[in-house]
Amino acid sequence: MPLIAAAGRAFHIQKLGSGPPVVLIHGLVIGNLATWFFGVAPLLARGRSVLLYDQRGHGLSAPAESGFDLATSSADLGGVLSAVGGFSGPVDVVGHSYGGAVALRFALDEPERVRRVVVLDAPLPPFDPAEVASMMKEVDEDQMRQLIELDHRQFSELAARLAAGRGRRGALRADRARHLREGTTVTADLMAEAPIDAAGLARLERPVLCVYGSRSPFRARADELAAILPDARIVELHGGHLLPLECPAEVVRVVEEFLDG
Amino acid sequence: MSETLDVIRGVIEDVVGPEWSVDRPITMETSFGSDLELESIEFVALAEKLQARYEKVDFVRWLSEKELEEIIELKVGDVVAYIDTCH
Repeated sequence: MPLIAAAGRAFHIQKLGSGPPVVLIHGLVIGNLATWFFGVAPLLARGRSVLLYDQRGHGLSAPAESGFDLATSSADLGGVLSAVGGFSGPVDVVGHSYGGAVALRFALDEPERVRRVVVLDAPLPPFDPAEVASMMKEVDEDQMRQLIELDHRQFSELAARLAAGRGRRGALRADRARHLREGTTVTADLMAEAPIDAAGLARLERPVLCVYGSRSPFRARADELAAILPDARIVELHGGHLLPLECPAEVVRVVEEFLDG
Repeated sequence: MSETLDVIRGVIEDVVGPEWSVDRPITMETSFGSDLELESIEFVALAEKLQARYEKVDFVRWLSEKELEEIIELKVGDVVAYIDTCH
């Protein structure tokens, strides 16, 4: 299993394809590198060098008890990019959910290492406690499909009801979510996150594409971002929060159009 | 073919882990999704381990080009057959 050392810990990575470099950042708790592996990544890899990695404490990367804040996540990303060949220069950065917030933070922290940014249905700090609570729950695949087009209120209710999941897969996910919730600082880190650096974003000289689901609980964030950023465009896709799983081909189409433009 | 099956059995047990010991023998008909209930990240781990074991087999690419639904339906025999055609 491909592991690299970065920021003093082991990160699980995958590289697909060849061409201009693009790194994909998954969301927390229900996300890992598999968010991209079976859909978005192979499609993007037809014309690009695609780097996937599991964030700390997620997927097959080393377990972590702390560091689930945007500053640390951004530093982790920088470390991963430095440790992987071909990704040390300016790269395109695509992040889903919390990963989208990491992408923006990395563009603020290290703008010279970023070419363009794609934010896929990301919440923005300060994170809403109800949103964080929803993220801490766990659901199985059928239930995740159902979550895709529900509104925020329904999302919370359904997630709570189905938190235990079912079978081995559901149990694994529930265990992982429980571990993250009870054995790490993830909830506290999310709740302690400072508001987004609007002044910094207003000066960000990088094109940003905001792709949001028409029925996502985070849909309004796209408009907030577009109002702050000097060079932002919004694309709304029919769907909910889990766009990379729900409609990978559509996501790739709009991302390629933006990155090639 | 039986040699490949033995290797895959070992890799599966490695990925699934001792705490989830498989209570039924792994055969060519065993489904990764409905029988073993592998998670998507475990499919990635499986692909990487097979890739390391069989250098000529681009298993990561083979798997990444499938729809998630196809992968869920995959049987051990499908993987054995794919590996054996690459040799």
